[in-house]
Formats: sequence, C-alpha cells, structure tokens
Amino acid sequence: MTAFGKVTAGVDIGSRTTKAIIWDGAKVLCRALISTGWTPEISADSALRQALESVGLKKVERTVVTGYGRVTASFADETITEITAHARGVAHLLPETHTLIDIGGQDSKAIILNGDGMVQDFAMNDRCAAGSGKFLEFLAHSMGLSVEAFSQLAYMSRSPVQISSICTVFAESEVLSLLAEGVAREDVANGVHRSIARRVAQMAQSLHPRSPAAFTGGVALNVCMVREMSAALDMQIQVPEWPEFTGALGAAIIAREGW
Amino acid sequence: MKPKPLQIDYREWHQLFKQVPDQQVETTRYYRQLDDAPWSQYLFPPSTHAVYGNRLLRKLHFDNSPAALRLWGFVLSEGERIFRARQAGMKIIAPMGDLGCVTPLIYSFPNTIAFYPDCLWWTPFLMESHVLFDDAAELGLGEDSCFVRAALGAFFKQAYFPKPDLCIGTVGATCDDMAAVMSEVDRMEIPIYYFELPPRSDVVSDQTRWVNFLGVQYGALTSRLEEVTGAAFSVERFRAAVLKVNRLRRLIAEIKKYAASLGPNPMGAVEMMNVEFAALSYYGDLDECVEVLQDFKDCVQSRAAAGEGYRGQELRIVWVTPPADPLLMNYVEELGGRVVGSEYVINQTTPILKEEGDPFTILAEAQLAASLAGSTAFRVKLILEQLKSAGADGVIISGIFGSSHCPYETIPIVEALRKQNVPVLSFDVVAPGKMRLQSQIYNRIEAFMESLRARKRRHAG
Repeated sequence: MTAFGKVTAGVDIGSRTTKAIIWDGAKVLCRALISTGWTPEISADSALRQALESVGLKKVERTVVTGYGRVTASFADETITEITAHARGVAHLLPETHTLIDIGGQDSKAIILNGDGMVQDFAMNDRCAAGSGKFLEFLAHSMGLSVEAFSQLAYMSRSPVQISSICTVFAESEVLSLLAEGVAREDVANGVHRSIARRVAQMAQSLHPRSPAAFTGGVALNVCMVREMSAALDMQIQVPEWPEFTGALGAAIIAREGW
Repeated sequence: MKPKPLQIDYREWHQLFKQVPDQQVETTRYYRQLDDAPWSQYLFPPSTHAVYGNRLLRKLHFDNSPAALRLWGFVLSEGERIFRARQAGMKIIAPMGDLGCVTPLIYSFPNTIAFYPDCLWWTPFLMESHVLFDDAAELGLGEDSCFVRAALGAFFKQAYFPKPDLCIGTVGATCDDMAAVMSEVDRMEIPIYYFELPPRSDVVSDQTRWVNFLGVQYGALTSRLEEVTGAAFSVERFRAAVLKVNRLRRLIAEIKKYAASLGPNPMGAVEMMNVEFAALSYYGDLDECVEVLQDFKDCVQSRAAAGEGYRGQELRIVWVTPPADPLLMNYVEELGGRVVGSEYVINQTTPILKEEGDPFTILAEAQLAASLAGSTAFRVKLILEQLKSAGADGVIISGIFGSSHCPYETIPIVEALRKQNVPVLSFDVVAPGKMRLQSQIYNRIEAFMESLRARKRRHAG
C-alpha cells in the first residue's frame, strides 16, 4: 500500500509506442508514453519508471502488461492481449460502448463488448499494413508530411478521391499518380483515410456492430480518420480522452480488479 | 511403465524412453504378416524422428504414455513403411481428394495397401521447410493454393513415398486444389483412376439413384483394382476388411468420446487428431493401426476411469478443419484449453459399414451419410451437435487460404455459429517460416481464450 492506496500499473507495448499508466482504483495518477524502438522490454521498463517517478513511487502492487511486445516484459505480474485490455479500458471510460474500433501501428481490431467490459467477439486485420496506422504513416511520408499534418490536410477535403490499392506499395504509386494528374492534395489525403476506414469497417461489419461505438488507439487522435470511420460504419463514434492509453488503462484496471 | 498423465517435450520423452523395455521396442512392429522383417520396428521417441528431419517435433508437446509413443511412432513411420511395402512387393494405392471412403475396398485386395497423399500437407510444417511448396510452385501451384499442394511437390521429388501403382483421383464435388494436384500428377505418367463424387446436398431425396450412381463408381474402381493387383475381388475378403475397418472406426469414436469426457483431459489434441486421421488410409497398415488405436483407447479409458488427465485445461473447444500446424493445438492447451470435439471434413471415414449385403451398396450408403456429401449447413449441424454433447465453450476454425473447402465455408459457418451465440474464432493457418503472421495468429488465439475464460467466470459467478 502507498499514500494512494492500492496502486497498480498497466503497460501497453505497442509496435510504435509504449504507454504506461499508474492507477489507484479511481483515477489515473499519471501517464507516460515513449517510442518503442527496437528494444521493447527496455522501453516498457523506461515508460513504467518514468510514470512511477512522476508521482514519487518506487513500485506498485501489481503490473499487467499488454500489447504485441508483452512477452518481452519480464517484470510483468501478468500479461493479457490488447483486445482484452482495450475492452476493459473503454468499458471504464465509455461504459455504454458496444462496438470498439482500435487501429494500432501494425493492425486494426473491431471488438464487440457484452456490456460489462468483456469481449463478446472480435476481428483483426493483421495480414498486411493496409488498415493500420503504418499504412497512414507511410503514405503521409510519401507526400512529405507528418501524420498530424496529413490528417489536418485530409480533414479540409470535401471531395476525396478513391484509393483502390490495398497494398501499401501500390497505394503509394497510386497516390503519386493522382498527385501527378493534378488532384488536390487534401482530396488524395482524405482518400487514403477513407480507404483505411472502409477496410476496417468491412472487417467490423462481420461482427454486426451496433451503437454506441468508440474508437481507441493512437490513430483515434486523427480527426479525419474519426470522421471517415464514423461514415464508413454509419454510426457516431466516441473517442475517449487519451485514446492511445486505453489499453494501458485496461491493463492497470485488470491488475487491480482481475478480469 | 504407467506415468501420471502429462504433456512432455521431446527431450523429456528421450529420457523417459529409457524406461521402455527392450523387448517392447523389439516386438512393436508393422507388417506383422511378414516374417524376418527386423526393419519394421517403430517404437522410437520423437527425438529420433526429429533427427530425420521432422524439426517441429522439437517444439511440440506429446502425451507421456507408452500408448501415445506407439501412436506417434506409427504415424511418423508411415513414409518409411510405404517404401518397405514396395520392397516387400505390395501394391500401393493412393486415394486422393476426399476419398477416405474407398480404402476399405483397397484393403480387401491381397497384399495391397493405401496411403493418402493429401496428408503430405503436414510435411512442410513438421519439417519446417518450404521445399515441397517451392517444388509445387515451380509446377504452377503457388501460395494461392491450399497446403495440399505439398503433395504435388512430393510426387515430383519421389523421396517421400514411392511411385504408387495407382492413384485414385476425384472429379465432381471435390477439392479444387487437390484436383489441380491430380492433373499435374497425371502428366507425370503416374496412373490415375478418376472416381466421381456426387453433388453435395443436405437431403438425399433420391437415395436409390445416388446409391446406384456410387455403386457404378465402386464397380468400375474394383475392376481397375483387379487389373492393378492381379487379384480378383472377393466378397469374403471384403467382409473381412469391413470387420477390421469397423473395429477401427468404433475405436476412433470411443476415443473421441473420452476426449469429450467431463473429467480431466485424458489425451492431447494432436494425439486425437492423429487418431482421427488414421481412418483415411490406416497409415498404410490396417492390422497394426487397429492394434495401435486399441492400445491408445485402453490407455485413455483407464485414465478416465481413474479420473486422471492433464490439469488446468478447463476451456472446452470444438476444432473445425484440421490445423496444418499442430503447434496451434499445443498453444490452445498451454492457454488452458482442450479439444473436446472436431469436424475435420473427414466424416466420409466415420460411418460404421454394414457387414452384410452388396459390397458396393454398403460403401455407397456410408459415403452418402458423410458430411462431404452434405452442405455447409450439414457441417454446422455436426459442429453444433458436438458443442452441445461435449459442453464446449467455443469453436476454433483453422482455415486454409486457397482451399476450396475452407474459404467458402468458413464465413457461413461463423455466421451460423454467431447466430446461436456460440463464441467462434476463425483464422487462416500461416505457412511455416512467416514469423510475424504466426505471432498474430497466436495473439488471436490468446485473446479468444481470454474472452472464453471471462465468459465462463461470468456464467459461474
């Protein structure tokens, strides 16, 4: 026990970033986010230490680790998949959620929740980069933009073009061809977002999604993607505060309450 | 030697094997009808087979009973056995493409054995090698085809089994990829007889018509087998074969019943899969196969009676479509699951054959009762029946990209199960060596098992 009571930690080792959260059972005491890089375990350890130091703690009661790099975290008391972690996290943040979309760096997921924070069903796209944050990042860089600038540019579009290639390499040449033909940059950028959203929505449709829907993961910070995802699913989508920390929060809650 | 039930790795079996009496090793042989055949011993630990190239055995977990050791030894010695059969002058018949239903007929000919080239699809996984896939690709069957394309590579290599005296291919409602393999095999000047399968239908409205249709097929096949073996078909020998096949099929059904028992799990999922696939061609030796399964059945029966089994496997799974990668089953077990039912698209090998009557009618009627003669809805019905009878928690469908049985059937099966509120996970098995994709499949299995566990706790609480 600490001055905060029983405190737990959740660490989400994603393919792009590693997130850590310290949780006291009622509120998030602090968050830390660092780039995962090539050494997931070191990144996870650093993120956790950074989070602990910011609230003056040396250790926590239990730590649950999630994300693709979870198997590397020797300090974990337990590991869980990001599917369970995101479901638990969003159930705390947006308890009414029935359908959850999580687009991460290397995959995307549609998760159906049963009303008490448990996974009823899920689908994943993980066979190629299409439908992932990596696809977005690659094409943003092809246009010489950061992901943030790419998103803002796309958001201004009113007549997005259709990007038909789902292979990242072919999509890049399609984007460059469209730009060479003189299509507006914002319409091309929006087309890329729409292509991802439609692909993820197609995957989600197999699960018969219903409102309310939520969107988590780092890509949920992208306003254009939220708009396109909402249109593709034909339902309003809520984005929790700090969507990129949802998995880490779920892990921290599970560390305290079990699952 | 009767150790407490455990799943152990190849190193542990290597140690445990020292306790197996020499006399047992020496007397455990295939082709017992042959005198002076010291080469037919097959009771060896998995490490022996790993040395001969089945590298996956270094990662798998095996049941620790002598009966399971015998089962594994018998399964893994099949390739060698077929070469020995050729050496001993036996005729080798290779039914392909969903034809497990014709093997009772093949074994009714003297000095004749069957093997099933489709099962070569496990070889690239067991050997952790792309060689057979690469050879198939050079012959035109690439990654967009089912893993059975490995059989084509093996026909080309001529190192995995001897050239059969006759292949029996299928036309009609059969696997497209296997049909492609067969057409290439035809060009290799390997004799093929084509057997026509009836259309798939739920309700056989005109049973007599289709029994007659299949009766003609079996009649023509019998004539071809007479030519190849040089022996006349004998009703007496056929009945003798049917009696043995029925004993084998009953043993499989009984073992499967123990897999679904309510007590601790008495056997591994991969061992159960080995048992079920014995029904296709009896791993090239019907007599010994029956004895191997009898031994295994006695083992699981005694475990069940004593309430013994593996601990900590609480999540009950029905597995649909056999996984080409057996490690996936081990992983489910590692995560606290056990396979209590299966639908491996080989139901043409399960019906008990009538022991009296016209031979071709007996075979035709059994074939029509199998799921391959039914629609996807029929498969769903079989899955749901097993779910209910085994009290299963969920279904795993391990599809195969490119297989005509799987891409067309997985989605409707998933939809039908979801409508019944049955938790279901489906994925395509990944070819060996594709590490990133394999880890994603493992992630999905883990998430599925977590969701089943949470669901179970909720229902219990």
